[in-house]
Amino acid sequence: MNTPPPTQSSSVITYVFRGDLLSTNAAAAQAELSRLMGADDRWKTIVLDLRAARIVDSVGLNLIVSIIRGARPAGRSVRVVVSNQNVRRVLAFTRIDQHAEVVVEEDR
Amino acid sequence: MTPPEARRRLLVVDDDPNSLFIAQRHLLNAGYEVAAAGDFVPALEILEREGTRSFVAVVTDYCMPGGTGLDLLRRVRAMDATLSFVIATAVGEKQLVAESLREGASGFVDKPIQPELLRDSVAKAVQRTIEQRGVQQTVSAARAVGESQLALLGLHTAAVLDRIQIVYLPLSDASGDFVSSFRTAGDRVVILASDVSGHDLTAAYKSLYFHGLARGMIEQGAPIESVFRRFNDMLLRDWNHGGLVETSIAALGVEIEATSGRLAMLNCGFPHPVLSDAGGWAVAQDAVCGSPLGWFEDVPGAITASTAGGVLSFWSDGLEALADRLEVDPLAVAHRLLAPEADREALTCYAEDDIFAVRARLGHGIAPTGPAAVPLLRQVLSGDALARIDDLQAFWERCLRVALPDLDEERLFDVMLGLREAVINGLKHGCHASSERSVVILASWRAASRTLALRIKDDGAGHDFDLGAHEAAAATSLLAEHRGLVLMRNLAGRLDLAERGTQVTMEFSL
Repeated sequence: MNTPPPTQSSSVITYVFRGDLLSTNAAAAQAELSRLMGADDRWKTIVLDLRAARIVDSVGLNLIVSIIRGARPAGRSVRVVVSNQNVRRVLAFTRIDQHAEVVVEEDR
Repeated sequence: MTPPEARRRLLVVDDDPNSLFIAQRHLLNAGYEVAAAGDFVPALEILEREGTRSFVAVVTDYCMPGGTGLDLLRRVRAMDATLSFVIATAVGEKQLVAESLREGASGFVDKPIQPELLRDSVAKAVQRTIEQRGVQQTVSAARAVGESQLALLGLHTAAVLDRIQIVYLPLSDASGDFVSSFRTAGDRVVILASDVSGHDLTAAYKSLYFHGLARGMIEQGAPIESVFRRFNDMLLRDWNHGGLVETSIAALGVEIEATSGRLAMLNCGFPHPVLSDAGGWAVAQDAVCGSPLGWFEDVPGAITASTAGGVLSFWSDGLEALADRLEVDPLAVAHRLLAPEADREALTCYAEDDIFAVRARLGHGIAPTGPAAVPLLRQVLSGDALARIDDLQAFWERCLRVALPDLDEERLFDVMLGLREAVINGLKHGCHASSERSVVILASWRAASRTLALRIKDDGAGHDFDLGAHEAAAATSLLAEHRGLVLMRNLAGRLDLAERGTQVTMEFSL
């Protein structure tokens, strides 16, 4: 999936997904996120903006989990921003919301 | 049909005796019989007395004291829309000419009348009357045939309503596609479906002929094979001789033993019927399918099957074409059209051919609301289809939206995500992305409980594992494995893993 250029300050990386996070685009997003996170190691928080997502499948969830697992040892945090209630529900019953901050915001 | 004596008879109307005489003479010289009237009212009296069908055209002046030529045209068209008019107007009255043509006049002539122009206009008007009467006769005959078809269908359906649902949606008044059903000796029910080549009235007659012959033979004890062979022989001998195929009939015959649910089925050129079990799961069919009757000498034998409590679904090629156009499974279209309160027009407005669909319950009576469980989808995927998963999901979504138009958006999300996960699981772990393997997707609808059931089965080896224990560990330790199963378990009202996990069944309460 193509994403708009991520925004990055010294402490926060924001990565905006333009649509669903699925098995068919998770690998490309993973590569881009890895590049961003490796480019400057001063970041403390990564924001995964999923407000445009209507559906996140298991491979997409695994991507989020990978980011969480990569961030944790360095004391970094992950914030997931969603607007779709179904996506919010999936994050809840897979208990990802216990490992990352999930923020519900209206769609842009 | 226009009586021969009326083929050349005209009515000429003009309040000016000189003009009337001249027009009459010109037309008599042209070989017509001519009746004359001096005004609007006498003209109307002649037409009413002798009948509009006694004339092949009316030539009338526009300006008359009792009423205009256009008034006369309007009155006559209300009685007989096939009778053509030529209206005579003064030179330059273009507005009158335009209005007359809009109202249905077939031509006009300027006054004073030029003999050749009059003859040409009248000849065209006569031709138009003859053509319109031919069309009207065909339409009437088509309606009569169509009414016969619908009457037969209604009669037959009423006798088997406890067992069979039929929707019959011909595009025109009469159709070459037809389906009939009747009870025979004992507890047997026979369903016959036919699709005669061509879409004209002849096709409808031949279709009805086939059904009449078949019913007579079957009621005398003949098996379906004998009926089909007899009709095939008849087509080859009487209609398709000399190597020319003039008429062919795709035909499907089904005989059901009501108590046992056993069926014998013979398919010659119809789309493959779908047999489903008591759970509404479509069963793979290797049914022999012959060519349409009238092509070749050989007719295959009937196949037999037994699925007590199951359902047999079949439909015309018109429904198959509609499903293609909508890019959905024909089962989804059939379900929607068979629903008692269906908004059929929303789908059939895209139809380009006659449509019918039939659903027959095997073994027991059918409830007024339909059988307990019916199939909505059967799809077989090659094991290497993972790259197409987004397109596949779009296809499933279209199928469900067509079959269940009142589906709640939030539940649709759950269904789509659960199905996607199950299919990805089957393709990746069951098939290992090998094109040698496959995943079968089935959807079943249980109307009474408003439950949509999905079954995804791969032909991999599977493996045993405790999903409940895994789910807790996966959530706590952020394990990546089996997250799809965790999703399915939480999205569906019920999840069942069978055959070492190679068969996943999910139920969604809608």
